Amino acid sequence: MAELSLEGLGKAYGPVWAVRDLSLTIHDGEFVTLLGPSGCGKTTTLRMIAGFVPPTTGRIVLAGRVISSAEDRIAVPPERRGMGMVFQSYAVWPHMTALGNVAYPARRAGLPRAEMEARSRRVLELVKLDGLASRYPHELSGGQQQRIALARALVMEPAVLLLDEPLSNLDAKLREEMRFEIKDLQARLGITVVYVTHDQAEAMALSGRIAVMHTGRIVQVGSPVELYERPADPFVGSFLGVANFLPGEVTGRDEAGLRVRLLDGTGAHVVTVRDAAAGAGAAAAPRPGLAIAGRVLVCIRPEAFRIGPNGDLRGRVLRHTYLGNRVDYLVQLGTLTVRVEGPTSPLLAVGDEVSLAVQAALAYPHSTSATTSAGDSGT
Amino acid sequence: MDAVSLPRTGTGWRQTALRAGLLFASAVVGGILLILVFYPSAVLVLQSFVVEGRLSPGHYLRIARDAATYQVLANSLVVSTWATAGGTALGVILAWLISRTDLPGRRLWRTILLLPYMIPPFIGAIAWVYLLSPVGYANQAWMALTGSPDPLFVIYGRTGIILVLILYGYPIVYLVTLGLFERMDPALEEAARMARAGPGRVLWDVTLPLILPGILAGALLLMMSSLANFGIPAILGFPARYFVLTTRIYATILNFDLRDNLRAAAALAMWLVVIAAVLMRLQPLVLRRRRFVVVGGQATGRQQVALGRWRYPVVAALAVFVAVSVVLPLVAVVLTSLIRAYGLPPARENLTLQHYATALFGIPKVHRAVVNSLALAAGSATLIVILAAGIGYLQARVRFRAAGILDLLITIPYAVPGTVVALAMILAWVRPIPFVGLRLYDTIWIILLAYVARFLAFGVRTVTAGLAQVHESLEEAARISGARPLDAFRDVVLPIIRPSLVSGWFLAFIPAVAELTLSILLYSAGNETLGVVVFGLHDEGKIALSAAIAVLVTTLLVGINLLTRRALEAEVGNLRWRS
Repeated sequence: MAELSLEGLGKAYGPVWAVRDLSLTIHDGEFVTLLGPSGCGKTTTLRMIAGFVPPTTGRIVLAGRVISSAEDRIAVPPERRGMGMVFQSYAVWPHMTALGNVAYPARRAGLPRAEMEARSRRVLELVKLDGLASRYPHELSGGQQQRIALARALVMEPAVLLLDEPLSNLDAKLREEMRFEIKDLQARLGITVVYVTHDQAEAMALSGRIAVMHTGRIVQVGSPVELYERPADPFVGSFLGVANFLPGEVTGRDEAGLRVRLLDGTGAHVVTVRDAAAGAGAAAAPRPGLAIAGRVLVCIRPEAFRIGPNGDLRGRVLRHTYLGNRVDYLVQLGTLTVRVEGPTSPLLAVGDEVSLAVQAALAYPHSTSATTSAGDSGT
Repeated sequence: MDAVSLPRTGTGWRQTALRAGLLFASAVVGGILLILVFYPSAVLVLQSFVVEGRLSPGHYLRIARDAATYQVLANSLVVSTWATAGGTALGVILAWLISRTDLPGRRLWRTILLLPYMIPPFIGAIAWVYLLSPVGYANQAWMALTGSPDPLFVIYGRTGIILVLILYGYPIVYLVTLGLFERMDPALEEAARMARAGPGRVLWDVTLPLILPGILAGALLLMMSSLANFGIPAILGFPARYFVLTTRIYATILNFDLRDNLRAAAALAMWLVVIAAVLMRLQPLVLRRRRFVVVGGQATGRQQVALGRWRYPVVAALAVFVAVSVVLPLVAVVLTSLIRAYGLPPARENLTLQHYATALFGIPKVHRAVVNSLALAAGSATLIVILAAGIGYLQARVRFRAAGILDLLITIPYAVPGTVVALAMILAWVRPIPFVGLRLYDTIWIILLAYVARFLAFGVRTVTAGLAQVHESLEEAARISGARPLDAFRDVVLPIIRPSLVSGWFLAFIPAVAELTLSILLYSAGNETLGVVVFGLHDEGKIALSAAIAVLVTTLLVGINLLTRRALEAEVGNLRWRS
């Protein structure tokens, strides 16, 4: 079984740590995404898994066998890891036909000619390129080249499939289409996938679990739902979707959660929030910094506001952006501004008074910075 | 990696072997470059300080005291400065006409204007001698037509050298500028048009400032090439006793009456080395001073400047220019090669193919030279491509700490004038190699060595450019597909860079076929090259015979040039991959 574990993985380039003390276990058949902004170390991590970058610390274990280890100086070369990889640039060889590209791993594996051919045709069919086998890459579109890269990665039925921002060079419509196809392929073939992207929508759509990375570390690991609804820190909250972070002061606590007064200059806006670290129940003991009179950051998603007659917060519309199915408002709350998602009717105009109810909010200690590791919040 | 902590696993051993392999390859490449370039350079510098077996700045002092030195230096600078100014102006104007106007027949002009580039300069100089020596065709015609007792213009001497340098040098700037004009993002100019600048203003305010650093870099190249030229000042200068540095060094080397003549020549050569080094240093400065913006834009859809009523006058001017600069000299050479004896009027009864027969079959020396030159050119081109593939690959994939030194070693023999390279080779290999007892001097091998050193940069540049197309992920994709490093090189890298290997081969082969500057100093009896034979026969006054060989050589070179250009463009076109 192809369980892949990364144990205390680190990579230093001179004095700079691109990846630091990264541990993650990817179960057999699981689809895990490494998500983060550029420079967060996600691609370096993927390249360590592939064997192109030797780790400075830690080790990588695939199905019980150590394939990379800094301490024991083990480095199984990429060609002997039995993995498949799709590169950001696709890396389709320009001098080979589609079939030639796809058949190459089979050729290297020394398969008999007939089987090589059969396998390659089968995979080309799988990625819906069966009619184009004899075309050269420059005769194919970007999306088709991408499918070749995918087919080439799959032809030897790898234990692990690595994808490095495979959709970032495609146009929006094609990207969405390929998203479903990749997910469908993974489900059908049941292979383990490690996927790297900076696109949170892509990560949410594809992954069983997402590991959010920032400055070389994993900030939080969890299912898309967990990450979106209970981000472990403001970085995760703002990286996945849109979130408002508002400064506030804890004024009380009850079974519904913390009472927080927003520091927006009005002194009149009080919201009920959950402690972000406290999981589903709110009964846990207050964390340091979330005690009465403590300063907090309140995280409210734009869709967690409800525009209605008797909300707790009063503001004024500064800007509205009509998006067809909904409206994106920018609302002035005292000295603060918040993004609010509202229905298309009634449509509010700039300058309109608005009252907002908060349906869900999370609180973070004010000192929480994006770099502190929130640890593995579990699956 | 220290030897104490030997890797414990087989896979670790593999990594070590890979690294050791790369290290070994680097050592081999480094060693070859040390022997090929560093050792002769060091010997040249060292020997210039040896007087009668003792270290001394004697040669330098004597040169510094000699007024003739300053005359020669001034001649070199004057000639190459004027040639650069003229060649640059000509090259830029022609490039603009070809790339930015609606000139009729631009594709044809494009190629025709490159013809001088394909003709060895010393053969060009010989052609101009046929036309404008005191008894040349043009002067004879002038005297016959006007009844004037004096020739129209005698090509021998300074003005003639400058003119011929311009005619065979402008393609350097023309090519560079053409590339700049064509690759510039049209949006840059369109933005200026939208800001209400007319075509003239756009050219002056946007286009020229943007490409100026590139033009200056091209001009520096032209300056270096003019300064280094030997054939033109040799053919046009010797009869007028007009010397530049390269020809003076040549004369000093051949002046066997002078004690320590080689070392004295070495000291003189340092002048050329210093000037070449200064020009080389200027190159990056020129390019760095302003941001060098040549964004890759689509050349298609660019609005061309309408020449309007100037269209046909411009075409006429171009036609006259080409007729005078290209057609006339070529006709003169062909005519000379067909005339029974040089000086006879070109009448029907004086025409003969005898000289071709003599050249090809009559004189063993010529026959040998053909074989020698082709073998030397093919041999050096092959060695260069192999070496360049190694160097380029190591440079791209192994991050050398000594990359700068490596680059310098490759550039030196190309940046330094050929006369100096030849002198360094003589000094380095004139004595037998210790232990082996082999003496390279007076053999054909020293010429091969010199060609490889001299033209290595062409090969490395081309192959490096080809390798730049091979994104590392292409190789990595092969590795993850199960290919070992050497498999990946053979299956992916090699096929993709094949066009650049082929063009690198021809880039080294073509200038070697009719090479003169190195060969004239390094040849020995039995090891003559085509350049040496043409130059020698011309010098001996066997004019028609040398013309016949010149025609053959030129035809061969222009043919190879045109054929490879087309073939290479087609091949590169086939592999238009995303990079």
